[in-house]
Amino acid sequence: MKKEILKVENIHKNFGKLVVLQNVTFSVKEGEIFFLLGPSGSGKTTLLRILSGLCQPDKGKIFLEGEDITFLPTNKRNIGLVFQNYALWPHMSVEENISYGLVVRKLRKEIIKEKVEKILEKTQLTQFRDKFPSELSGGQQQRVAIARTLVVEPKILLLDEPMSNLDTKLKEQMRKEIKRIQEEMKITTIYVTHDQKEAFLLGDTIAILNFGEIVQIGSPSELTLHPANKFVADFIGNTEKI
Amino acid sequence: MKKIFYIISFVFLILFLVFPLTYIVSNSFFVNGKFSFIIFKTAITNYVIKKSIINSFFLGIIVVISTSIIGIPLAFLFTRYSFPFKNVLKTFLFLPLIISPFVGAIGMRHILSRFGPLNLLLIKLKIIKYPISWLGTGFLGIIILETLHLFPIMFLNISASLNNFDISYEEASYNLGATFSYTLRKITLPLLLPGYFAGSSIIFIWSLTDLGTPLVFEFYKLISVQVYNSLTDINTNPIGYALIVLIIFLTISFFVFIKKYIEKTPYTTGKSGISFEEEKQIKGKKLVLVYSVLFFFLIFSLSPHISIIFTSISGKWFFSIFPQKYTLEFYRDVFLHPLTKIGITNSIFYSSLSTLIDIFFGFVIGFILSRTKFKGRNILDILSMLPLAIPGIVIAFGYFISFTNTFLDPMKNPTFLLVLSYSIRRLPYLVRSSYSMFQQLNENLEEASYNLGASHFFTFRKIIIPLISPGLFAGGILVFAFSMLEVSSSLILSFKPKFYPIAKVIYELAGRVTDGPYIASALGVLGMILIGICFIISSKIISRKIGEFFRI
Repeated sequence: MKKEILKVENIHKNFGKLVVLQNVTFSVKEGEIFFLLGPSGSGKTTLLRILSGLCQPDKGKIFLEGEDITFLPTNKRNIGLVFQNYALWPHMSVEENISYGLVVRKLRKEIIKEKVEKILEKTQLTQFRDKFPSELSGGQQQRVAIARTLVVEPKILLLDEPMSNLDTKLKEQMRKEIKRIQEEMKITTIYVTHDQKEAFLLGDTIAILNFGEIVQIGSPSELTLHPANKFVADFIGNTEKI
Repeated sequence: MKKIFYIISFVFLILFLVFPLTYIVSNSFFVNGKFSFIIFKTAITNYVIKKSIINSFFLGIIVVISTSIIGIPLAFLFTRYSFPFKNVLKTFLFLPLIISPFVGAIGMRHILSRFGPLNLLLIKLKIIKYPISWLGTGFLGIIILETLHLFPIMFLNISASLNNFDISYEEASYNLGATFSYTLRKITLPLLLPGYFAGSSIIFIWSLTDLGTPLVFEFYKLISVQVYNSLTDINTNPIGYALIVLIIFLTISFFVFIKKYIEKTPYTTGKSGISFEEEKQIKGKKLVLVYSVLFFFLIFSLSPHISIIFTSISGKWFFSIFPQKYTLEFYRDVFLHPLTKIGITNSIFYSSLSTLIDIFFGFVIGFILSRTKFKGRNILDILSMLPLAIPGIVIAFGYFISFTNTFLDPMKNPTFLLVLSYSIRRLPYLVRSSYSMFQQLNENLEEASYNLGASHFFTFRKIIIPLISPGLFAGGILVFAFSMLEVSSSLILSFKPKFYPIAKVIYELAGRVTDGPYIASALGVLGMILIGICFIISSKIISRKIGEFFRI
């Protein structure tokens, strides 16, 4: 049995009168890929932003390795987020983008160089190191975004709809790529998507969200065999049709 | 038919834009038919000119700095945070833009004078004991007036950059462990630089070439005033040429620098889907603080306007904080005084003509750029946008020297040149709006008309004109408003009182000792009201923000 790394307890979040999240409770085991799966507007992205520390819940607690991090700002958390639109800084080269987090951590130059070198190689970006984000393809941009987050060795990797800006053919390739990198680095990953297929192909555990609540949590097979209600059944059912 | 209009547009721009500019440049490098730098040598060795160039640069730099100090924090406040009445307050911030600072200068000259209301107020509040000489040489007054006039341009440019700024750029930085100040330094500010340079260079050139304000404050050691003064003996004194060439050179290098700089840095403007948290609500104590800062700032920024309103209705205003007596007689005088009567009639006539010219050429050039494939369209495009970059004083100077001693001689009758200088200066607005109207107008609409058997002319009359005219009308109103109070060409090109436009009348009156400044203020207030109304009508028609007219 793997050790539990992240525990989320009873999270609530409102925007004005709109209830975005309620009663969200789950835990994530070390090294697994945990999926937050739900239709658009179900609160996935907000939940991810709360986990990353970019916004605070109205109620509830988050524990990282047993420590309460609910109100720790994002720059103190070491939970890496890969943004849906990648958020690569357009005025910096690939290498500058990737080394940013290391420079912030005031590491020695040689160490930064070594780490950047390694991650460039791992993400097959070495030849693009001097390029600017606007000169890269969508898939390359995504690899830079992932490399930039992974190079600081976060405790958890958060991926926000990573495939939404890629075309179908590239999606398949990047799925394999993400899986490969994730397994190689053995990093705990929380992956947000509305695409059932992705979740069932890659996920160790899947939490299904609807209207801000977690409807069911389980492994892909558990969800397929014992859907908790009609919504889950329907939502998963779509997989076969795709 | 199309070809004829194409040629007419070209001839118009070459004759009244390209020719005056090249005439200035060629005349300043060719003396007696020989290439020479003698004019520039003479200019640089002249003490007053050297001093004026230094003063003007100093002025430009200070105004850029002061508008940055005001405009940048305001832009952050208004784009990143939300609070009640934000949009109303934003409109107030733009008010200083709508009237030339030299009108406000007339009122401020009184407010800031040795025994003026400000000193009296400060003495009464026991903040100072003896009156301070605020104006001194007048330089400080120019800085204040230009800062208050131009800070909205900085505000607009930075706001535009911030609006295109993807907030996740900052979030990504925080997520990787960076602090607020590190993120500001490494991510936010560098990404705002292009917008900042654009804003700064407009402001720099503007304050360098502003003629009205220094004249009112009687500070003459500035490039713009030296150019103005050189006109009286331009044939024997070539210094005006040297200074104008300097301005042209500066303007072009700024422009090239910005274009290159922006094109070189590959900025993307993709906005993320996450927007619900972008604007932070300001509440409670912080809101009180924001409101009070904004309140005092608005009073400060509108003080030129407030001061001329007070001046225009004050029957008596000596040695007191507020006027001792109020009266509306100066508003009556505006319509009775011979000089103001002439000025208003002239300006209405000149502005109407230039509006018509701009509507015509705006439509024609917009049509050519969007609907034809003539060779050299790019050049037409560039030429019609060029006046955006060229300061009014340059165009006016160019007209003066190129057309003196021709049948268009401004000394004899400046009507034609005044009308043309007004229209050339505002042409870009109309070309831009008609071009975008044509772009939005689906060509299918015209094709459907042809398909149903309509002729070109019929389609033009029944389809194109009705769909394009609201935009042209809106643009035309703005051209009219701007032309009514256009300063530099009005001051430079009109010599005989019977041809004076409003701006020159205001300047003349402001210099008289008796009731002149009061009537000038009343006329200025009326002008302010007119421009305000024109802006409201125009923005209602095209539902576009006023601000878009003040960006590159």
